[in-house]
Formats: sequence, C-alpha cells, structure tokens
Amino acid sequence: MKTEEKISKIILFTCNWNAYSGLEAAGAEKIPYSPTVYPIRIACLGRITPGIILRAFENGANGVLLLGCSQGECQYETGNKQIAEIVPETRNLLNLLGYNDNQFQLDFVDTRDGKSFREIIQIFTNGIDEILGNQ
Amino acid sequence: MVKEVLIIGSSQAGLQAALDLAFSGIKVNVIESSPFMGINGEHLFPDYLLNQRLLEILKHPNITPWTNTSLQKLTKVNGIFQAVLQQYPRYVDLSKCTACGDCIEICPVIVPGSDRKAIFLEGQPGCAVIEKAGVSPCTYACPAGIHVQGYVALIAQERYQEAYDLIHSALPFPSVCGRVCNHYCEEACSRAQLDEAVNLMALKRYVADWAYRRKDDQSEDPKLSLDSTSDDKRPSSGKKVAIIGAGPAGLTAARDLIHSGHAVTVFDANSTAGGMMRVGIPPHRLPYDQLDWEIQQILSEGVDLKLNTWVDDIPGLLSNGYDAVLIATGAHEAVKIPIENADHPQNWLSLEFLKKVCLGEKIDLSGRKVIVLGGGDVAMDAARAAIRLGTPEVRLVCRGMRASFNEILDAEEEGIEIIRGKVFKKIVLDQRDISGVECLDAEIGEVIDGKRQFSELPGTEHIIPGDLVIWAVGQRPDFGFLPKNDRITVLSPEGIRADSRMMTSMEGVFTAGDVRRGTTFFVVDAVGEGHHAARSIDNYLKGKLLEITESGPSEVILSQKEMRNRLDQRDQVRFNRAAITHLPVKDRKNNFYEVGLTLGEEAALQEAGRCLICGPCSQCMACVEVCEPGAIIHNQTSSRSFIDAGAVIFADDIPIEFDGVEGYQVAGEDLETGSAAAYQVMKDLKLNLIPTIQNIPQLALLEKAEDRIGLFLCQCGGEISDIVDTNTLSAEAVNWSGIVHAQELQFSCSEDAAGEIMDIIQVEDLDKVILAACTCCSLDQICFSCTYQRLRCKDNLGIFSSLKSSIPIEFVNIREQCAWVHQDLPDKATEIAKILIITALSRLRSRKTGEQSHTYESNKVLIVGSGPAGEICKSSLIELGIETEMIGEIPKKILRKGGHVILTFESSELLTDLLVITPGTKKEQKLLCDVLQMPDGRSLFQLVDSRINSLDFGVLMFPPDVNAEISGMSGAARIAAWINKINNKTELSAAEVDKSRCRACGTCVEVCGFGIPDLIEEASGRYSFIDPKLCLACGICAAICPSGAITPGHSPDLQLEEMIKTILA
Repeated sequence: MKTEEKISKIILFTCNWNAYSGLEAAGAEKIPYSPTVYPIRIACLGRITPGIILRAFENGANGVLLLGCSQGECQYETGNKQIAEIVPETRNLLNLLGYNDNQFQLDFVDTRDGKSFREIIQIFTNGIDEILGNQ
Repeated sequence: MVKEVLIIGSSQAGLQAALDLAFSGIKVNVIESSPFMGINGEHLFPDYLLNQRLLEILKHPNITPWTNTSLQKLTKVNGIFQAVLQQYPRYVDLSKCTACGDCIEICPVIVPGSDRKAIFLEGQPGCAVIEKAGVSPCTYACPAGIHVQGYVALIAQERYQEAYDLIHSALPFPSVCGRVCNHYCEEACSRAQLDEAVNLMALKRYVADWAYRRKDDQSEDPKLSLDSTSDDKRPSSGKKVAIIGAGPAGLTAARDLIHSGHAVTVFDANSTAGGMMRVGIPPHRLPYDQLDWEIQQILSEGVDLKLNTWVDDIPGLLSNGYDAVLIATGAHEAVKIPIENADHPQNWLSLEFLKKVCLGEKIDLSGRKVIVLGGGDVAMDAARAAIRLGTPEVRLVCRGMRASFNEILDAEEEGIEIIRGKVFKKIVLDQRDISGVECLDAEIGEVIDGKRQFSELPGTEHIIPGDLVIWAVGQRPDFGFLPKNDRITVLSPEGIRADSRMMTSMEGVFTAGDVRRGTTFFVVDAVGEGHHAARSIDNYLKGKLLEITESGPSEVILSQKEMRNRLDQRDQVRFNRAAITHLPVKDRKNNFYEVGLTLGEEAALQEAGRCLICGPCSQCMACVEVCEPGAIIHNQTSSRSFIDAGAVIFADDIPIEFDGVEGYQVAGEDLETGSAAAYQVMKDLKLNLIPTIQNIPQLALLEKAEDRIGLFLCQCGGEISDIVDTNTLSAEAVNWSGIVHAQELQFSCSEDAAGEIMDIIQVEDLDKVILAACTCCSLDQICFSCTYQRLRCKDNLGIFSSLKSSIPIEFVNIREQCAWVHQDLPDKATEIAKILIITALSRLRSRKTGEQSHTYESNKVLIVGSGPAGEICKSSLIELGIETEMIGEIPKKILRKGGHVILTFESSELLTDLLVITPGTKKEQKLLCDVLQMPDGRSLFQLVDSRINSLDFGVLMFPPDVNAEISGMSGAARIAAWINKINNKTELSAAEVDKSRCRACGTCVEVCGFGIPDLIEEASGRYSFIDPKLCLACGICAAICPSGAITPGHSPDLQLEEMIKTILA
C-alpha cells in the first residue's frame, strides 16, 4: 500500500562563491531542482559550526547539505579545509542522535555549473526521500 | 590641471590601468569600440573572474565606460588632450535591458558567418546589442517603408503571421503589392548582383494569401485584432480630415490618420473603394475578394467612407468642419494621341474599358478585331482583358514595350499578337467603321534622360487591321474638381503643386499619389505618398509645421566579396530564384481567373532562405514586440562627445598612430605594463595620493518602538510574477511583523523603480526596506554570479554612492532562486519566495549596528631584496608621495599577522603594511620565499603568487627576471591604488571580538587565510584584534573560536538560527 508522501525540508548552505554561483547558474539556465531545498547563503562554509547544523536538525530539517568550493579554491584560503574537519565530528554527533549519514553531506560545485548543482541536489534529495519512505 | 584620464581600448592592460587609477581616486574614461568591454585580445582570467573584474569596472564610480565608441580625433592643446568620441548606437537601452534573452530567442536572423543572432549578448555590460550595419537595400528602396528583409527572415522561420503583420503595418494592401508591384526592393536586392534577386513579391504574396486563407480564424486571435481593439485607448485629437479619393494613397493616409487619433472621412466618386486597384487592374491579375477584405480592415478602424460622391468644393469642406483635406484622386483619365479619326466612337479609352471590366459589366467582344495602342502595363491589362471577353482577335501595337517579360509571354500564350516598333499615324476607316490603324515602323534609339528615343522610318506605311481601338498610351489626372479660382495650383504635366510637406498652395489642403505626380505610378508609390501626407497632416493638425526629417541609418552596401562569402556560408542560400507558376492557358480562356499562382510553402521557405541578410538586423521588430521593459530603440542614432583629459593611455589590441600627438602612454600587453602606464599617469597628473582616512559612516538606527519596513516585489516584466504570485504576496505581507508597506514593481532595476522606492521611503517613513527581485546582496562586492542588472539596481538605489540611502536595504533573489527554477510549481515557487522574504526580515532585525574601531596607521612601504625593480619601485612610490624604505638585509622570517607584515631580523623586528619583495637572483628569491609564511605555517609566497594582481596579503613580489622598470612602476601604481582602496572603504562588514569572552588563545590568528587577526596587549589584558578595514568577513574565525567571542561580519549565529527557524516553521 502506498503511503502518503512526506514533505521534506532540506537546508542548503552555500558559500558565496563557487557554490552560490552554481545555484544561481541553475536559476539563470532555468534548470529546476527540488523545491524541498531551501538555500541559505553564507560567505564561506568555514563559517559553519556543528552547532548551526544541529540547530537545523533540532528545528525539523530532514537534511542539511553543505555546498562550497573544491579544495584549494577557497576564496578565504582556509574555509574548505576547516569545514572538512568539522564535518566528520558533526556526523558523529548526528549518528549518536540517530540521523543517517545521507542526511548530512558536504560537497562542492564548480562556478557556474548549474547542471552539477542540480545533480548533487537530486542525489541528496533522493537519499532523503529514501529515508522518509517516499520511494 | 584636468584630472580625467582617457583609456583607449579595453585590453587587459587597459582595464588594469583603469582599475589602478580609479581606485587611486582618478576619473577614468574607457573607450571600447565593440559593444562589450574586454572581449578582444587575451585575458589571463577564466571567464568568471573576467566577468567579476568587468563588473567591478562598470560599477566603479570613477570609471565611465564608453562602449561602441570610437576615437574620432585626438589633439593636444596646452598640455591637455582633447578627444572627439563617436558613440555608435547599441539600439538597446543600457538602463532598461534586463538581459532576459527574449529578444534573442525571437530574433529570426542569424548573422552570416557566425552562430549568433542579430541581437545578442556576449559580455559586459550585460545588455543586448543589435548588429545593424544599416538598413538593408530592399527595405531602403521600398517607398511604402516595408521592412522587407524582416518579412523574409520571418518567412524563413515559418512565422507567417508575424511576417504578414510586419508587411501590413506599413502597407495596408499586402495582397496587391504581392501581385502587381514594380518591386523596387527586388531591383535593390544585393542578390541581384550575384544571380537573381530574391523573389520578394512572390514571398509577400505568399504571406498575404496565407493570412487571407486564415482570415476567419483571426477574429479570435487577440494579436491580430490589435489595431481595432486599441481604438478605445487611442486618444481622440478632436480634428477631422477629409480625404478625396479612396485609392491606395487616400486609404493609407486614412489609416495612418485614424491611428493618430483624427476623425477621417473618405470620399470617392466610384461605387467601390480601392481606386485604381479596384477599377483599373483587371481581376486576372488582382482578384478583388482579398483586396476588399484589406479595405474592409481599414474601414473597420473607424474610417467613414462616402462612395459615389463627387467632391468639387474643397473650400466648402474646410469651412464645414474639416480641419484638413487630402486630395488623392489619382490619374484616371486615359489620353489619346491626336491623330486622324481618333475621335471615332469605336476608339475606346483603356481606363474606361478597364473600369467596366473591373466592375463586372458584361462586354462581349466575340468576333471583334481589337487593337490596343500602347506598350505599358495598362495596355497589357486592356489587351488581356479584351481577349477574355468572348473570342476576339487582339493585337497590342506599340512603339516600345514596357511591360514585363513574363507578362509578354503570358499575353502571347493567350493569343495576343504583340507588334512592337510602330508609330501610329491614323485610324483608318472603312465607310463608317474602323478598319485598322496605319502605322510607320520606328527605329529604336538610345535612352536619353530616361526616355527611349525613336525615329520614324519614312515609307514604311502599313495598316494593322482592326475594328476596335483601345487607347492605352498614357493617363493623367482629372483636375475638374479643383476650385475654379486657381487657389490650388496645378503644374502641367506634374500634377497638383505641393511643397515638401505635400501641402498644396491652399492652406490645410494636401495632396498625394498620382494626382500630385501627374500620371500613374505604382500602388507602393501611392502608399508611400499616403504615409508622407498623413505624417504632414498630423504635424499640421498638432501645430508642428516643420517636418523634422530624422537622419536615419543609412543603406547597407555589401561588397561583391562579402556577398560571395555569404553565399558560401549557408547551404540554404544557394538555390536559384523561385518562379511563380501560372494557370494553364486552357484554364484561363474566357474567364478572369487569376493567372499567377502563389508559391507553395516549400518553395517560399527555400526562396526566403536565399536572402543574403544584408542588415544583418532585418528590422522585423519582433524584439520590440517581446521586450517587456521597452529597451529596444531601433532608430537610435550616433552621438558625438568631447572629452578633455589630462592623460591618455592607449590600450587597444591594434596599434594606431596619433598624428602629432605626443605624451600619451601605452598600456602594453599585460597587467604589469598596464599598471606601469597607470603609474606614469599618476605621476604626470601630480596627484596627491596620500589618502585621507575617511570616517566610517555608521548606520545609525534609531530605536523605534516598532519597525517600519517596506517590501518591494519585482515582477521583472512577468519573468518573476508569471510564476511567483507577487500580487498575493504583497497583499499578504502587510500582515507580517514589521511590514507597513508592500507593493509590486515592474522592473526594479530601472531608474524609475528606484525613484519610486525612494519616494515611498519618505512618504511611508520607512526605516528598512526589503527588495525581492534578482539582486541578492546589498554589499559593495561582486561575486561570480553577479550581473550588470543587479549592480544597476544597487547603483540606482545609491548603494555604491556616498549619498546612499540612510536606511538599510535587504535584497532577496526570488527570480533565479524561485521563479526560474520552480517554473512548473508556481505555488511552491511562491511559498519559497515568501520564506526567503521572511528570512530577510529576520536578517534585517538582527542587523548589526555596533561601532568598529580601526587602527590602520602606517602607509609606509618596505622593499626587500637586491633586485633592480626595488630601486625603481622605491623612487616611483616616493614620486607619488608614499613613504618607502629599502631594507638591505634579508630577514630571517617574514610573517603576515594582524594585517601587517612582520619582518624578523637577527636582532630586530620591522612592521609594515606593504612589502615589496624584489630578489636580485634566483638564490635570493629562494631564500626570501623560504622565510615568507603565514601563522599556520603555509608559505605566503605561494599565496601571493597564485593571486593575480592582488595585494590581499600586503605583499608584492617581483622575481629577478622581470623587466625592472615596468615592474617597479607597476608595483607603485598598485600600491597607490590599494592604499586608497582600503582607506576609502566606507562599508565595513568585519568580524568583531567580544573582549569579555576572548581568552587570547590565538586560534583565530592561525586560522585566518589572510593573517588579519592578531593578539594585542591592552591595559585590561591581551585580546584578539581584527582590523575592520582589512577583514573580508568570511566568518571562519568566528566558527572556530572556542569561546564564541567572535561575531562574524555576515550571518551571525542568531541570524542563521532565525533563518533556519523561519524556513522550518
């Protein structure tokens, strides 16, 4: 029996540079992506703390996706190194709280690459749907 | 001293010079001959960085970009350069274009030899441009003003309705000119010089027939009934015009005058409207159902038509309520040559005969021997009409033949004998009836003054047998209706005298068409005259007596070589001209079925593809139709400007010589040579480059009892509002906490919208504003995804000016992030837009207003290394008034910390904000690179090296093998620019340290990618200090601070939390 589809809400943190440019490129090229994704733009992913991510889950987010620049391309030199260190420890905390690894991911997008942006969103939202039993 | 600088060309070197000078506080004009900046020549940067850089230039208040502009003249008088600039039209308004791309999508023209449309957008400023070398020859030649290349281009795309509308807008009778035109356009067609002209007439007929076949569907098509539905909206002028003659000139003028808001009455002596089209051209050439439909369309726009009315009291019209009169009565009187027996009743006049035929009168010429005298179109019409009336013998006798080759063939096929080279001597009678025409042979001579000369050959008298003569040797107007007192002067043989406005010698009475020209011209000429007269009458009625003749774009003349190129560029261009087919002879005996058949669709498409696209813009006006903000200006003209400049930098890819002008700089090829040229200019202009440190303006937010926030929602001409329900959002928003005013804007990036926002701020006493559009931040910063329109929006709102709006504005992008990505889910798009707006509200509420202290003190530059660039850099800096010192000793360590560079020597330490490293040898370079580092141990050398043209670290490095002079000077220019840039920063978003929580652990010092934080000693203890002028506000230090003492410059925790809660609520 088919259960009613659960509506998910996903918080997407993008850095202001490559990832935001990917998000904007998807918009400019009118490449649709899942409307369950709510973007919040910050200057750099290095600005994210485990606390902020936990706050998102605590308030009911079904997933948190972090999108930034690839290693070596950080506008602020150290941001993506910093976030790469924070992700595993946050993931450990989330695991303790019973969240699945698929609900929290870190990835990067190239500048103006709307297609890859959409693909990343697609894979992530599919993962969330699986967890929610939407598939 | 004139402090403005002129940079000619936008090569990468030129742009670097522009930035260095602009940041140093010097006004710069950058002249670029193409429509886009920096697209020619090489650029070091990947696209997204080049884009960012170009936007930086376009937005800089000290830089005036001049695109599409060429330097006409450069002179130097008393040390001042004087430049004459010619700015060519872009045909698109830079202050309005939203870069939506609708025009590019709709444009039917692909520029030959390229893969782009005639309207395109490929750089910055990010606004479209039309590639228009001028008006294509076909369009230029058309008296009616039809955009010929335009309809051809539309037909080639199977856009028949648009093609028809385009023709119809200039020519009320497409069906007529698709059949009986003398097609000046084809004579002018470039293609005629290669093989044969494009069959423009057949194409015009194709769409006219297409539209006629679909006429019954049209009443439901709103676009087609545009003319009639706009009736009510057209403001009435209250003026009345009488038009005498319902021919092509009169009806064209009638339609134009109705469009201008005047009331029009058309009088015609005939029982049907259409003039010569309806009573002169027989139906085998021009069927009337289609013409009558076209006339009906004009009448349905509100023209009052009075048929069977002979008007002979023109002054009476003027005294009885008509404000102007147009005489357009045509030339309906056929003439005879006064030879013997020409008055015999068996001599008919062609036009009288044709009128009877056209009106369907029964005439049977069976058994008659008809002689038609004359060799023009009217003679041919008469002969071919005659042969259809029973079974006569028909001979067409003429001196010279002027009918078209095809028509002669048709006539001969139908059995008409064509006898050329005859001079008529007398009509021969046998008893009381005509028995023939006596002729002499004529020898054909040369053409003199446009007229072919003939000479009679004596002794060649002979009789051509016949019992009915139809005279078709010419026609003239009947002037019998004019006032008897000569108040309207007639010039014989020219017709009614008129001035350049087409006004006759009687005030308020105008004339157009054949009656003005004295003889029969073509329908298209009459239509052209009708337009002209209507324009003049409109001007006259509105009190504008002088006809302002605009010097429009000129005709495009393609070279033979270019034409051949275009022939090679496309496959579809290589076909031969399509000929129209004819009804078989057996099927057109004794009837008036139309002889010429219309092209099939395939043939029409193929024929349209033969166009050489001379324009290349075809002026099909499709872009004008789709452009929501109305940014297209097809009749834009060139403009000329004069600039006085204290210095000139040449920065074009192609070198040019300025005759006799000396003392200008050359930007060279790369960023360094560009900066070196900028240095020379700074030196020449003797600027005082020591910056004055400005006070940082604070956004003083008075604590009000409650927020008064205004919300503006951009519709983006439907791009947003067609998906996101901005209307409902603005209605709902006034219920959201803090919002006291909400409204939509059509285009928020327009100046008008900015003015409206400013007004509302005043009227509604707003203290904060949210603009939901495509702009996404209020920062004076350009990201990879920024656009020209976003900057224009911010600029219009004063974000970049010192006179900025005193209240904070938050921007939300609801176009790229809602409307455009959730097009299929409008409800979802609206919901997300709402959430974005509410999160912006929460951002506004938590916007930081605290005061920032700033310690930037020293502008002293230190130079380390034995390289020759160092000496030159030093003297250059000193020349600019910047304190500089050379350090002989190589430091043990160079560390970037606290926004400074710290040099550690054996026994001492030196601190500077700006360090220039100029190693003299490779060995020294290695030594210096080894000692350069960041607090976390990264090599500063690599960071400096990987950043092109960046002083983010306060360090510049010139390797030993550089051109010492260029590098030294370029370093000076960049340092001057950087010092000014940092010191003139007005809006600071920087991380802030809460001293009560700082434990001086140094984590922030280590993590900062730019070495900005430092631990400083104060009386109350040791704290981290982050210089707000230098902090880039990434927030990394805030995230890592173990005691939570740092609040980041953007998105503080509380704000993020608010936003998260809003989204998840």
